[in-house]
Amino acid sequence: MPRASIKSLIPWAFPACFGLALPAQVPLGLLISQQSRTAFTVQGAGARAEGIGGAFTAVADDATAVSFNPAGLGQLLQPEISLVGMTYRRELDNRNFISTDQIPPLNLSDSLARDQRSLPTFASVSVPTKFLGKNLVFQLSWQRVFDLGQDTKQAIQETDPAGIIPAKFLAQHIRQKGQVDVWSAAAAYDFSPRFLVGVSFNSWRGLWNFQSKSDESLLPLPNSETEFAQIQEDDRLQGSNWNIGVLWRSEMLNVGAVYRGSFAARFNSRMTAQSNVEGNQLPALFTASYQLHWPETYGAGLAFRPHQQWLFALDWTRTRWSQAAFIPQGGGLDNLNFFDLRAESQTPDAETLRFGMEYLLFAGNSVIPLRVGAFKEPQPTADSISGEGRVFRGYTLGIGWKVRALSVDLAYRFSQGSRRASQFLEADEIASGRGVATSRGQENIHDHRVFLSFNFRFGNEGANRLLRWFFVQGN
Amino acid sequence: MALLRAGCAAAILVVAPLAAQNQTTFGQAYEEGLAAQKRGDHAIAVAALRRALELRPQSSARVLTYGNNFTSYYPQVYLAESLLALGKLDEAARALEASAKSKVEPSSLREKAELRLKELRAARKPEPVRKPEPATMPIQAPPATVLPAPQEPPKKAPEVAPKNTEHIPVEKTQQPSQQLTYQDREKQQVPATKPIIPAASSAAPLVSGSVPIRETASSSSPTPTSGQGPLAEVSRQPSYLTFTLALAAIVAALGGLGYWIFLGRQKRRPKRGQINQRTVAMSQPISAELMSRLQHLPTDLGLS
Repeated sequence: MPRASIKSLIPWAFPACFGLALPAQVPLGLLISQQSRTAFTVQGAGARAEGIGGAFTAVADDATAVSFNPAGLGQLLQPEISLVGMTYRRELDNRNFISTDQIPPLNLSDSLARDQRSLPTFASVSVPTKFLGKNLVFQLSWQRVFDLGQDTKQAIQETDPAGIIPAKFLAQHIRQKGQVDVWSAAAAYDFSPRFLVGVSFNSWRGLWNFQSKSDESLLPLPNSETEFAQIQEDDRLQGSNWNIGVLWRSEMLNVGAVYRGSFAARFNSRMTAQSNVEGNQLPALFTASYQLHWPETYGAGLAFRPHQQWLFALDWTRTRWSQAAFIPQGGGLDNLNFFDLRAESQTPDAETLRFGMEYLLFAGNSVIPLRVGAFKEPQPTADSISGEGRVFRGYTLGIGWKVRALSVDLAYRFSQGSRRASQFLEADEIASGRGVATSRGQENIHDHRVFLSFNFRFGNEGANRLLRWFFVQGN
Repeated sequence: MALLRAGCAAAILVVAPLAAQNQTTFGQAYEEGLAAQKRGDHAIAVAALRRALELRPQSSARVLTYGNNFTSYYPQVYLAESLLALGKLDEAARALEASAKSKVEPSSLREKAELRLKELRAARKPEPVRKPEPATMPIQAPPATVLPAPQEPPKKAPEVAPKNTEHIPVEKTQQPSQQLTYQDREKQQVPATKPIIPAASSAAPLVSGSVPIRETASSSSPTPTSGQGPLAEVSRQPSYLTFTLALAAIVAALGGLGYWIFLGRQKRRPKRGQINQRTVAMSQPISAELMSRLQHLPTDLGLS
């Protein structure tokens, strides 16, 4: 690494280690997993919405509506089911990193960690009915709000530019499995042709398992001793909240707003750690059972349809992640922010902006929508040393095919973010238990996602017959 | 605060009349109309299709309803079909005329309806025009299907006497009819009923599956009583009070929510990194137990 690059990093690299240390015992896995946590955004699901950049709060007119704005459900006139899936590929590119646990700092070779997964993200059943002559729609849905899966490996060489300190080999394997799911029951009602209101009750269920192993060996490898720090952590989160949405619609303009309520979630964590590093401070076992204040999200959107083939949409949402903190119970995690485990948290509130447009092509009986969108999506993480947040900017492209009752939508989303960041790479920095990362450099993340949605509408008669059979009579 | 209250009041004034509109979207009304026609509920079909026409007068071969759902929208020709089934030949003729003018609605459907119209007119025997007299109509109770209540007393007997004054034969399942004036009927609040047999009932029904229907003047249109101003019309909507109160409650709640989010919370918003005192207070009942558990935990685990 050029010395000039090192010098440019030094101003923010060293104020680090004093006064920023964590309490003695914390679920350190939360911090380490955050290194590549890239999708912590409270957002709806669906390829149609993703195709227009996720700006769907004021549109919300298909079975995925509940995940954006429950009021939009009131627009459905026929029963619908929907399924959404996603494939993603993430690349975490670490460049120009230095290790600052020694002076002068040591160079770390560049590394690229890739991660790829496919998973279902949303499923729903919606049934419209009539109440006082107006449309009343019920929906049951499941959404994977946060996929916390991760499987990344890094292999890095640490070298002294002066050639005095022997070179080291650092290897880190992070493996996390799990998710945060939301099960929702929603209802929406069109009070008038223009004004719709919707509510949903949401049950949050989070369960994830984190494992990391960090090895540190002197080069050449075969005969050297290896220091390691190994952490295993199981986390569980449970809670429930209410969302409320309103939608005002006209032929050309829709205005929507949504409020996702805050709640106190039960959070349980169990961490075990092992290390052969001299002076290891990691607790062999740490358990915590806390209440976590999960913050509210609110947002608003505009949709403009100058012609029935054109749609323009704009969304703004805000999640107060700075308020995501453990509720005091007289323990070590009191008042600590969920993301950086600090009382004086640097975690920023996330304000997202989304914009998109859709054009509908007609081909015989089929409708082929073409979509494009752009977004800015900050993540609830600020680097503990540089203070820089992880902000993704990206664009989306989408296409669909709708024939009769079936809609198939496909969307591609690309986003990237860069910042000066720190990492827990070395076994001895993890084993120190201070929770202060000593490896710092430039982090570049490229995130590719492909969404696929199926949406199927049923005739009202079938649904009515089924409801009648179920509730009224047996034939 | 005063500004907030004024905003809420303004919102109520604006939103409540909107909520009072007992109308659906044109797509919803159109689909309801077609479904009713398919079932043979032609009076309901007529009301729904007329509502659809109010909301969207232009016919279209492809029109967006919601989402990416498109439908062909031919309200005039379907309205004509239901009007024919109800025996309202003049109104059907007008609907067919409008259908032809639209230049969009399919000629095949229109030609079929026009043919039917001719047959019905030919089958209808000319009758002498009667003098206008107080309109009477039979009551059929209980109704097979409730229609929009007639809100318009007959201003005048129409030119074709049978449309207005003839007595409707009772259906098998219905009780013997009574001869009542419109005024009596309104006092008793008896809704208009279907089915009604058309005068030219000797002809076969136009729409397959439809029941031969005879019309009365009162059931022809769901239009509200006129002559008392739009406010009176709105207040006559059965759901006006319900929705106005509901909307007022919702708007007040939203106003309160807005105050809580944007103003109230700013005052008591904790500094970054601190926790809202209210949430702290919420957690107190369990903290003692957890504290004691956590204090003993290191000893129990042999860590201290």
